[in-house]
Amino acid sequence: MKRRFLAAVMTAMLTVGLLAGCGDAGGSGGSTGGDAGGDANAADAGNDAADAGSAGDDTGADTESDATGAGTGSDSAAAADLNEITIAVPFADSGVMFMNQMSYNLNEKLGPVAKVKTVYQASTFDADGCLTFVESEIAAGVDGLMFCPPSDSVLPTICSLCDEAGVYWAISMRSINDEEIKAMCEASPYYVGNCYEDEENTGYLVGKYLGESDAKKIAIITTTKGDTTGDAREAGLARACEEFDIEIVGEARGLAQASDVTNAVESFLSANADLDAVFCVGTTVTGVQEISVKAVQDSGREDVKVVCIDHPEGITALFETGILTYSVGTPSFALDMYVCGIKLVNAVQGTPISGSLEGKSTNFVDMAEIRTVEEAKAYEEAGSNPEYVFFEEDELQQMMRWNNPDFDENALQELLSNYEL
Amino acid sequence: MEKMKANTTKVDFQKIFPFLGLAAVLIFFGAFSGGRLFTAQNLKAVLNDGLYIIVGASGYAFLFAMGILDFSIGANMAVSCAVACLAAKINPWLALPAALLTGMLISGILGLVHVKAHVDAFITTLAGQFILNGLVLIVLDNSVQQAPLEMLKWYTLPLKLVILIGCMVAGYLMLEHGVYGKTGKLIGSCPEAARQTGINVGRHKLAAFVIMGALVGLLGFVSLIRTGTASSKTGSTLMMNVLNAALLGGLPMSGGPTTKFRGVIVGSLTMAFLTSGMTLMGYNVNTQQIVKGLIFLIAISISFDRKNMKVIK
Repeated sequence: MKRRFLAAVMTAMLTVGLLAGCGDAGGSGGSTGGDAGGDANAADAGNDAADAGSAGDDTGADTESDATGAGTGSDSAAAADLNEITIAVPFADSGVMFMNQMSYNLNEKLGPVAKVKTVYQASTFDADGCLTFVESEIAAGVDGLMFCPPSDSVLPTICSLCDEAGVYWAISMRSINDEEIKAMCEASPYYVGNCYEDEENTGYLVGKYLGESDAKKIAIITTTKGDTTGDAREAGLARACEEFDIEIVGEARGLAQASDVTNAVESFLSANADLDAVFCVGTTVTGVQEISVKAVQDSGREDVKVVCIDHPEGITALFETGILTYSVGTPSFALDMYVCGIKLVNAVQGTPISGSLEGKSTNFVDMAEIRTVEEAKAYEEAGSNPEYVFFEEDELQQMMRWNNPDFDENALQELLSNYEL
Repeated sequence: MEKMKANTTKVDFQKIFPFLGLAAVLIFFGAFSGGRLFTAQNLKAVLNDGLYIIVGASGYAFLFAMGILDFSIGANMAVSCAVACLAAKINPWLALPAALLTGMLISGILGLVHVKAHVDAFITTLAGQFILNGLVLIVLDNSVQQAPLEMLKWYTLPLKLVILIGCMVAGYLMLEHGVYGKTGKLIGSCPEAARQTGINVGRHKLAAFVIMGALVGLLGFVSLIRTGTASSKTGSTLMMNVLNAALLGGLPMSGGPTTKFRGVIVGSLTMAFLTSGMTLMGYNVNTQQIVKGLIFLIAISISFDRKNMKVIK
């Protein structure tokens, strides 16, 4: 009897919930708020986005017709007519400095200029986590997604999900290596493109530095094979190794936590008495450079140098130890994500930067090399400011194609090529 | 008499609490998300997320019934997925049998160590997890492997529903109405009594491991056709999600007759809708962690069967 009563209560509750859903006219187009500071905010944001939902759909249709018709007729859309839009990013908006910089610029700078709210929904960096992020944010009604895919093979599913839902998407920090998958993605009107570092050249630059420093035996900390970033960096390094006769005597792949890095460096040192350098090629472990430097320091083998890609936090102090001697990376780790965000909002608002090259937009962020304490200090001054502004408001306004119809792929690339902190 | 009545009321509340939890989640997020919780798009996302949890928890129910915890299921899923991916490169149709056999073999070996060497399942599977974490890297040659792209088309709604409903129906019938399920609960309640009645406790435990392995292998295959990818990180969240779902559903860690299959379903749905609801509401990840943790604590405090909890067997 009690079970029947309970079943009846649950059925009634479900019915109420369903009716509440049916009663919301703009439900499916709604999106969520970027500021999760409280329930009230979230509810408000949800309502705002629900209002914008149908408009967002219209935008999607407009842009699709641009894609087929190769026109940019809506380029002159006034900023005042912009729709409220929402984009989602699979990173937390707190903790690491580059994330703080990214969220600050997305929320405070890009937000008002492009009428965009950003949702931060952390996901695990694996294929299932990436897909779950995409599916749940599409269900939440976002207008655009940007993420860093863990592999190429997850992209066909994401592409079809976004096509089906009419949601724009962009890739940050990664490129698509598989030609078949690349063609598939680029055929989609909703794929906005990507922005990433020239990874192969980056790997080569580090190898060249090591060669010029007379390093002959090195060990690397890198990603698992199949990670497009790690693979490209290693390809560049291999080229330099051949050119400068450098031997890779140890490698550690796919490390998951700080202690793994310490163990790996300790193993490199104990197994190779004549090791010249440890090269942090790439990993998802935060602070890999600092951990590596400390492991070398603790071993007393201060003749072994540490070199890295992606400037670490506390870079000045690490250079002052004399163990970290070279770092190469984008002016800011968050810059390529931010540029992806700029491309995404342009596309969602109906004025894609790629113009008639719909969905084929690829940009490189040029690398900045740091070799001295002074250079490190200059970088750190800008890099340690969570409220560092990548582009001033007037620059940003000019990067919105509805304000500046001449702003295209080449103009963006030129801007990035000359970018300095 | 009054004491007995009070006990009955308490037990009843413990039974219905998981249902109330699910109802509360559905109503709260159903109403405050403007009904978006129940849109087709969102239900599809919940299904995709919930599929792993429900299938995993269905297998876990048999282990739970005997008071066994298996910490190796995530790593087992990764190895099964990796082997399936390699098999698929030879012929895509080999992927499913390869995944199932790998999962069953791995769990079977761990079960055998537990049963024959009398090592606690907790220790055996924890050690197994470490071994499998290394094994998957060897199988994948330290890389991320890509499945043939044609396999992505296999991940369809009918297939998902068949897997989901199949596991739920088979799990329910076996655990609640089958001899095997009832025997398992008896073993969980008092292994020595079960042994004295002539039940081959070791064989039953081994079978539970093999069932879990088959389902984990199936999940490895599902992950492969969903993502087209096999990596060492496959299944990394499975263990915690399944364990949370089982506990939220009121399943006792100590095993025994209070292990109910409905708890698996209720707990899994609560987890899936809770996550989805918070995403719809725009809660950021920090808030989600806090809310999940609090709900988990409250649920466990109320529904946990303390009297039967002795030690992890």
